[in-house]
Amino acid sequence: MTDPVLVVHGLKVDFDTYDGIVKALDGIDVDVGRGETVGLVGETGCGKSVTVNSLVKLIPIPPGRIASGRALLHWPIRCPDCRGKGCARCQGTGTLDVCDACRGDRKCARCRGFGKYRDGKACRTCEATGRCTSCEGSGKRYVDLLQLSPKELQQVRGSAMSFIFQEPMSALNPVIPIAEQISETFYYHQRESLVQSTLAALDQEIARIRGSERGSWRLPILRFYRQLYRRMGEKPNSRFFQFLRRVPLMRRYHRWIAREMRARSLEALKKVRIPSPENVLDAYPYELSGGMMQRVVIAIALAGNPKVLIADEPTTALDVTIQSQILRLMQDLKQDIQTAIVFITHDLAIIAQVCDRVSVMYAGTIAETADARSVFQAPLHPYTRGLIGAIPRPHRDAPRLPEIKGSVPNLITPPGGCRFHPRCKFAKPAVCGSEKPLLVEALPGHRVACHMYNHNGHLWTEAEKKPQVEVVA
Amino acid sequence: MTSAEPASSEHIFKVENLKVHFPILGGVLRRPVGWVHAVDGVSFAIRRGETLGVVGESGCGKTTTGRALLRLVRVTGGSITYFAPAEDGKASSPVDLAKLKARDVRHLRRRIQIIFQDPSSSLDPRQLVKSIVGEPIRIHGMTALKCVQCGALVPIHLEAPGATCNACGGTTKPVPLHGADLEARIIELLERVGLNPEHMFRFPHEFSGGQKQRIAITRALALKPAFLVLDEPTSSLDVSVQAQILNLLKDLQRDYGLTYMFITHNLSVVRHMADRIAVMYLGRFIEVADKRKLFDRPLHPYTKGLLESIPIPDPARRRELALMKGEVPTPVNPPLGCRFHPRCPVALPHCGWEARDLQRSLEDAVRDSPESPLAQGVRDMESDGVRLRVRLKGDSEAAATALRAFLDDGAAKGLPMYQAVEGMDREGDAVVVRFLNAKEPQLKEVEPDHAVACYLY
Repeated sequence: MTDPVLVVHGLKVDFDTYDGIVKALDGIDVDVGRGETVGLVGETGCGKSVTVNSLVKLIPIPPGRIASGRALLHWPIRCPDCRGKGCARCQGTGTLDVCDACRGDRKCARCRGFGKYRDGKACRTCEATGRCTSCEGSGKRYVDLLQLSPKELQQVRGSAMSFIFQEPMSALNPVIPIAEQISETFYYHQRESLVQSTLAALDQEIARIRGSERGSWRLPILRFYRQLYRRMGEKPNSRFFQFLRRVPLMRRYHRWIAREMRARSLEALKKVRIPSPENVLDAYPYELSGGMMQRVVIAIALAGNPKVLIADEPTTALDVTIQSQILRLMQDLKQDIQTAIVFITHDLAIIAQVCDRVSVMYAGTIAETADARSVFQAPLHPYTRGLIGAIPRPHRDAPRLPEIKGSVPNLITPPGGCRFHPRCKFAKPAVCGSEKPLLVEALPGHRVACHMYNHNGHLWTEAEKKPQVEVVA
Repeated sequence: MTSAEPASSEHIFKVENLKVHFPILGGVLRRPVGWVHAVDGVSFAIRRGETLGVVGESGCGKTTTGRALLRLVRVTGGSITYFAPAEDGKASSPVDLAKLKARDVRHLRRRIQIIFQDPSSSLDPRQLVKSIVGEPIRIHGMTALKCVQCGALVPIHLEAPGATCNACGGTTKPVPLHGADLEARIIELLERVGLNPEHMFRFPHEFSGGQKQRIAITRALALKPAFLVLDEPTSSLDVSVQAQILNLLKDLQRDYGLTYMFITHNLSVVRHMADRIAVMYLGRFIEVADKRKLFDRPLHPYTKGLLESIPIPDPARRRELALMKGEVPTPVNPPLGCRFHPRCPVALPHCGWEARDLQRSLEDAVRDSPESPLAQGVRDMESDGVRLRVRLKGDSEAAATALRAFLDDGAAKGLPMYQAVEGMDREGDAVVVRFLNAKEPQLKEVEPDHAVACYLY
């Protein structure tokens, strides 16, 4: 991956329960490139949602616990020296995009890029690669989401990373009109630009009144508002405004920014092609159908111009005709705004239609990662082979479907070694039951966690290792 | 199905003009103020041993149709003729389930069973599997054939008068099922569906979704049913488990000679399971065909759209998913004529265009350009079937001209809605736009085993 926006490495998440520790994720590696659509597919309970939710701490902690791992998000910041105006430090761009740890030289801070210590031992920090671990050797500014404070995370959620959830009815607040729900994103993530355009609108109004023959009693009030908004522009997060919004009469200043937010919400609704968006603004969620609600949720998710959009089963609750509308909408929008999408679903057909790369998950591990075409046409992992074979095809008749025997294991006492081995047709108990297979690159760009394709590969015949979808004889 | 039906003996169900309407209660007295036309005139027949697939979007009435066959909902109109297959050499005469009293249906329901979508809510959480499966056996007083010599039960699907014991070949006699015999029968069934005997003493919450669905299947099988309504049996299951359950259902159909009505929204699954497929839209069957014919050459525009919106699990065959405009209208007040006409890409002028359709586009036009003479001149609108009454304000002459221009413009663009306008009359300060009267298209067999309800055919 040359230019990743999100790199997840060795993510382990446990949940403490009265029955024992649920090892929900056992070392997940995912990387998402700029503008790429990555599919995360697997059965119920395999950890798809936990993977993305734990990145921004949307899992309950406790009982959840992030045991280890890194989740690096590419996040250039506004240059603190010039506040985005352009200076020598940021080379006139207004943004800083240099790794804090290596200052852009891409070398591991521990071994200075040699991959080993002076005594010749391999560097454990960078796993002997010599690359900076804070930026994955890119020299750009990445932040580790798992280390962020709750306040910093709040800035990430909804702006750098936003979510579309499965059930639009429960993702939206039933007692707040749509316009307000969209506005929130603007208010909390784009307050500065909102204040700028509010000031512009105020200036225009003041100029209009002054230009007219008679003055107006509104003029001093508007000037006062302008003062307020200028102050808000300087200190966007001041407590003062939280207070002011609760004071009767004084809180009327908020109408000007609210008008601005409403205009932006309307634009957001138009972008997701909602019919008659003006009416939808003042509607409550219950007045909309499932497909319309999901469009609203998408509008909210895109309002913050996210770098990574996480779509967690966005069409599972919808009918097939509405599903195709939503999928098409997401594809079109993706081209417009250049955001990367992580698409979580259990429906392999959707993955095949929309994703560039696919990661197949099984019981808290990644079984296989490759571009969509190779996963579907030449799957390596026995689980993927079975899974793809088990889908009934709309355009093919088969007397029986190939099935995967058994069911997903309990994650409190997961099977030792490869977690799939009790259900695997090709399992060799000697290796598969005792040794955990690592994700290795078996073919160019095709990584798989199976003993068939690592140093134990000699135990299987070439015919067994042949990448193919399972079919019933 | 409308045209010539073969003699009824090969059928298990023959449904004619089935209607199920649910009242919307309102007011202080909770009187019905409207009706949800969930199922609105559906006719079909199910042959013995076949699987009839029913597909459609949510809210189209497919589940209600299935429930009506068991009389689990009150039937508003039509007939459901049930031809009970002969059992133990005894044939019974056909009955109309829609006319029977609820208590008379109850004993017939033994042979008409249903498997629900969500097994977690269709199994009693406080009963052991043993009593979940055993209760219907006890209620219906089921008997089993027991060997006089070795005491083994004859497997349920081999039971016939005078059958000999499977194990020792001895003679058998019918015994009521209780105690050890009941347990033996439950074990036999559990093993048949792929569960273990020790599962008998567990509660539903101890099972996974797929296993719960297997228990629900066991419960239905215990009564020796002839007909099963499968109401989305796999939609809450994962792909790999779905494959297991679908394969099991196919095996059971073969071994026990079952007839299925398979209700689903998943077109890929229905292709795998069904012999014939009925496509449902807003309470009506719009296309009924042999599954190969339906998938190879769908006729109804809705079926075409539906088939083109299924994603194919193969990135090499990635395609532009078809976009069907709009959403399913409410069944409280379904569109006139063909119910699909407002969303249909190939609609004709006589497909049933009505005042509501024009009102919607007029409102859009008014909103999009509030300065136009049309928007300035319209006070309000009132739809009444095929008549749209537009009250005008201001310069009513100019407004009426603008409205006529709007209609002519649409007709000139070839839009079927505007071509369906029959005429325009002045009534005081209002204009009434009249539409053609349209009848609803009926299911018509356009080729053998392929019926469609569309004016194109």
